Amino acid sequence: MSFGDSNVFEDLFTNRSYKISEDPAVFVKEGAHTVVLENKWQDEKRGCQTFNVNTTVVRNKQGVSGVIVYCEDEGKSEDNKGASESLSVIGELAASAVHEIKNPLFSIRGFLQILDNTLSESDKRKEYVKIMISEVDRLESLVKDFLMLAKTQNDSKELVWVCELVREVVELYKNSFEKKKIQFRLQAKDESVFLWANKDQLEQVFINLLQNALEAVEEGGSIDVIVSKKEEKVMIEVKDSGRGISPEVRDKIFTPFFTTKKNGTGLGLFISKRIVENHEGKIYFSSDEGKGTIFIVEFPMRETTVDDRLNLWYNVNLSE
Amino acid sequence: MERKNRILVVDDQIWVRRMLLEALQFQGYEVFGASSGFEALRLAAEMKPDLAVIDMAIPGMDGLTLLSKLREINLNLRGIMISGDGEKKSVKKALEGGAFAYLVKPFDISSLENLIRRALTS
Repeated sequence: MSFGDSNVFEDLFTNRSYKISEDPAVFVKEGAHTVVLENKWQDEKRGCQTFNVNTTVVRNKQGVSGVIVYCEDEGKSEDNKGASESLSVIGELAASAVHEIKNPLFSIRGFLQILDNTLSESDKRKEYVKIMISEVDRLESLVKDFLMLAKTQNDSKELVWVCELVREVVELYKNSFEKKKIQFRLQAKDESVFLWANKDQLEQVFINLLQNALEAVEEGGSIDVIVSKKEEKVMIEVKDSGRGISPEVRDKIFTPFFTTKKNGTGLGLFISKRIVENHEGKIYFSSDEGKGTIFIVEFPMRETTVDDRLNLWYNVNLSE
Repeated sequence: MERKNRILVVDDQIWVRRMLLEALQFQGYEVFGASSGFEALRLAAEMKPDLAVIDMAIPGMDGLTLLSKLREINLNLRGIMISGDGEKKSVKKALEGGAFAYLVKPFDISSLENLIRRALTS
């Protein structure tokens, strides 16, 4: 099964083997390649297949520790194109509509600020202007969240290294954590956790969860993120020592426009749930009022639709 | 009398442009606006701005091309790019392309005013 000895490529999921016409060294180069695999499986009608291959080189401190190869069957991905194209058209349309809304909101807000600067503190109109500015801000957040919702229509996926993605998001929050003196711990129980996912969308889920945790904890509280693998599942837990979610609102938190925050849009968890479910995952929580909340996101280790898309996941240990 | 700092605002959205011009005029700058790259170049040759606030997506030529052309005329000109696109890639590209700063729309007018003050004194 090693790449070094032969040019035989074994698909771990379907137990088919392929002969690779290219030098296996091609896989060590990071990026996208097209390779021709010769099917050695006896009853297969097509003798040769062209695959779009995407390789990710995994490095550790000692050097290259492995190569992950993802192959997409060209013929099969064509079949899915129609459906995903119409979805992306809707997404694009919504995205440009959002941009069109942003510009007028921006000029309205700017003019209101100019008005605000010209009015004296004792003028009652100054208060009206301030209310208008805060309402425009609310509209802006809504529009921003809607843009995110439109982007969830985009189903382009790539191989995502979960721990690395979580680290990138945490980096965005470093200053906020320090400011609030929050004890933050990232526990990666398993480094080699990969998901076939839309990176921007996953990032958004973790941003939403961390933002909620940040707003829930008091100064000096703690936030823990745990990444692990459990029974064919990838689990990401975000745990905070915050005020918790009160029992009355627990069944409402994933409902669109439901919010307990002063300036919230009520779309964050709704969008997160939608993204997670689009990735065939689950999101749930457990909360203890006054003690904290834990949000758990779990994804199947690999796509369950192996039949629709030939999905080969190959990890070769090159360090041996 | 000391010459007022001159600021060129380039944005094809008429009310955004007008709002930015009014806000900056209120701050005491001498301002003038253009809706396209070509109009901006023509105006700049005549008015010799110290700083330009440029939208990344303007008709005719993109914002960064305009900035580099403006800087061919006046090497000391500072450029602040504004855009609805907050992608890290775009921000990086603009800063590498010689922009002093990059602001994602919608932004608070006072952050633009602060940046302009910093740009003009640096």
